[in-house]
Amino acid sequence: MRKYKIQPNYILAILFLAFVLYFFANNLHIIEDVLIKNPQSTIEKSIANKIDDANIKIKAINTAYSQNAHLKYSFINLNGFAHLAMGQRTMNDVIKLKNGYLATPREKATDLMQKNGEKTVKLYNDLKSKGIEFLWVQTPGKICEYDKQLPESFNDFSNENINSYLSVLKSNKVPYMDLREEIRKDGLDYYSCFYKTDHHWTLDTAFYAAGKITNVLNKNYRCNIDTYYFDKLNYLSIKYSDWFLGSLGKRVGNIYGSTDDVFVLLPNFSTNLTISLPYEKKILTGTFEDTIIHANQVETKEYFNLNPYAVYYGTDIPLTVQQNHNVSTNKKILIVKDSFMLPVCAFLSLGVSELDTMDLRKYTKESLVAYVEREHPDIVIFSLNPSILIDDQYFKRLGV
Amino acid sequence: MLFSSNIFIFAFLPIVLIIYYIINPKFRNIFLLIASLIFYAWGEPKFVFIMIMSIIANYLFALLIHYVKNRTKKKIYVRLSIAFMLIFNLTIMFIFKYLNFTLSNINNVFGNILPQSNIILPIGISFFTFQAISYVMDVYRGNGEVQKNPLNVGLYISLFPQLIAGPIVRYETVAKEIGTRKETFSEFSEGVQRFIIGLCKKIIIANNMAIIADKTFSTKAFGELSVSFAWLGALAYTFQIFFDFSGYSDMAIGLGKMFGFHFLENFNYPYISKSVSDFWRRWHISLSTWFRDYVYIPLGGSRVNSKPKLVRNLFVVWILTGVWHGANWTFIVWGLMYFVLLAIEKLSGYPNKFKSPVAKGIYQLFTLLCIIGGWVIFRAPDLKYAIKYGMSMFGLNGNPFSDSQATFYFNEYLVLLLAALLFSFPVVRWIKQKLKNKFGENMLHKLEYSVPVVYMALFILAISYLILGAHNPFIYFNF
Repeated sequence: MRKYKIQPNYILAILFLAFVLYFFANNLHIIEDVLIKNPQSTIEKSIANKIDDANIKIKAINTAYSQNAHLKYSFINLNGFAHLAMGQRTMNDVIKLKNGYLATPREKATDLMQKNGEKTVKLYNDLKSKGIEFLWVQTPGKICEYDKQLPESFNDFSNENINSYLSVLKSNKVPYMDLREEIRKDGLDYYSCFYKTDHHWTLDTAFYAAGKITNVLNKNYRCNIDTYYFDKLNYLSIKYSDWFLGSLGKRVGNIYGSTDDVFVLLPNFSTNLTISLPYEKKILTGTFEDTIIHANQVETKEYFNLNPYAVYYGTDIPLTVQQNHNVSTNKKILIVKDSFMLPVCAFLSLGVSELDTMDLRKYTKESLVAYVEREHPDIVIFSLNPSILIDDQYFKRLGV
Repeated sequence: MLFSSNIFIFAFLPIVLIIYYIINPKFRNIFLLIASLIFYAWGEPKFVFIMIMSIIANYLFALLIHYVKNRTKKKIYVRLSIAFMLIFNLTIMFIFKYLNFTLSNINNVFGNILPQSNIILPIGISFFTFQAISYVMDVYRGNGEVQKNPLNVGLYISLFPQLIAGPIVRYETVAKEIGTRKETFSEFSEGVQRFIIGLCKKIIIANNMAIIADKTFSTKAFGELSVSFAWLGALAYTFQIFFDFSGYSDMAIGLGKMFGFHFLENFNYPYISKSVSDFWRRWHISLSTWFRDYVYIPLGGSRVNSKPKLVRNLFVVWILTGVWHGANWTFIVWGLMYFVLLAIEKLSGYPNKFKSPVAKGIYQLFTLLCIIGGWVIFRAPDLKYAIKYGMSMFGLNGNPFSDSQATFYFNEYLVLLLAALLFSFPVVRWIKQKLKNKFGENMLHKLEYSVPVVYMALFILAISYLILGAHNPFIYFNF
């Protein structure tokens, strides 16, 4: 029998070593970064403290090594391909609905909803006693109450949770609008209101929601907001095809999760805004494009590193104080918001002269009540999506 | 540190390999010792001191026993020294592993009279303690030379490939290799292949099986856990524990080879066992042979002159095996279950007495069912849960036969379940033999050149799971 000099195992060992050393070289900076960020303290320490220090650094290196691994997104896509090949409908805690949309179902939390609902009622009563009007805006969750599209055996309770929360508001006569019902009444296709790969609604749906909120403000809160600003005909819609991989898509990759188109709406009328960002100690003045649009989020197609949904404002900002110099409305509005309301606030800023926005997940300087007492808005609009509605800690920041 | 972690594969391993092979061979042992201590400290730095204490103490015990054995003729001194060594090692294990369990049982019986301690279990304490005992015992028995250099004892006890989850490497197996070993690229290559096999078993199969098992074993409403889903969960755990633990052993054996060490096999397709005795010759071989050589045979083993003594010996070994796995009644009952089954096999002579292949086949199936049932007890958080779960497997909780969850998880993981089933059998060996018979050895050898591509593809797939951050704990870390 002919003897082969190079055994198959040798080739495997060489490939393995090349692979491991290549990634070692390309990941080396991660360890350096962690050590630079956590330098050794020069203060004399006991051995116990030194061990604790070492433990912190080890954990930081482990986390950084997993999160910033070289070619991470290629590996995620490879894994997504394997999941597709095996016909799997779940990956990395993300479920692919029957219609191809990605979602993360929510556990039942009706007791917590009751508790958080009661805190909101307290807030409403507190504001009422101060002469401040209140409106709860319920944004929809990704899974439709009437058409869940979930694979068999999965349950989602986000709608049940919302219903439980809203029932508390209803029984205490707290004014609210349920955008799920508005979507249903207007005959919109529920799932088309969302991105396939993100947990957020589309920017178009956010524009629709801004119009709906404006109608309620004008009708029930005696505002004089011009509905001209909420007519799509007055906007330029720019389409970015296959441009967006949402938060859920980033967890499973674009091969498993597909991609979304993004439509960015820009006003076709003149705008003049001043936006203060007290946390960042910044004041921005100029047009809508100058102050609110973050074009860098859509300039290039970068599925894993950019977030086109955040084209308005760029990110969730703890606090903004906004003035529109081209309109004159009679009420100062504070919107307490999460990321769902990010584009909604952008559109509302075009029709409202005085608008503050607060993200209580990031605004930690004081409670909501303390801020309201100081700034005294005429109306507080409060809105949370179902995933934050179950966050008990969040409601502690209301200050009631 | 986990073998199945980015930091191990892409930082620790390449650094250790590079330094190991570029330094002067005479410094390799000390370097491996330092690397092993870092490896252990990476998980929880303070526990490394416990291991260092164990190394120093057992180094001294071995010297003492060697001295006493050679300088005095009185066996009593040797026995006393061994007793001290055992008391020392087992006390450490007891304090860290069994103290809280003991206290809680005392409190259960007598009311809350004793406070619980907040001692945390150091990873792999059972493995390194048993290795330490093995070192001293093998020196006593003359199965290995006493080490004058404490660093060599340190290396044997802490050697990172097998430190945390075995196999339990006997001192006699590696005694010579600590002093003189020859690393070759051929063996290094075999080590790489074995490491990749283990990594894939762990990450691709075991971790995915864990998703099903975790789902079923998190059930609280047993009336809703369908019969089929309960069985699916039990089967998934049966696969998980095998591919998890044997995957770790493969990685350990592979890593050992990369550094010139040869560890003995720890698994041999246990799920094809024809009897319970056969299963324990194929499952966690290093543990069962450890108990056989250091407990069962010293007690007299099977060559005792009375059946009650044989039963006693089996009972001691299997209660210890159960306890070794953890401080929980589930492990003790699991050990006792095997005591009963093995005692029946040994006393009755079955299944060896069976003549008919049908009877043998039925007994093989019975063995497999016992193994699966045993894993249900092993996986359950407590005995009550194990009983309830077992009842659900037979529809005794008023639970339905099937449900949508069973169907979903079965379909979702079908490919991986089939892979787990397939690789529980010696299928690769069988395919190789078939190819060899059909095409001849030369052709088979040529075909083997495609193997590196397959292995690398599987390795890269395993890495993709790692980077995705999938569910990844090793079951046997807790033991």
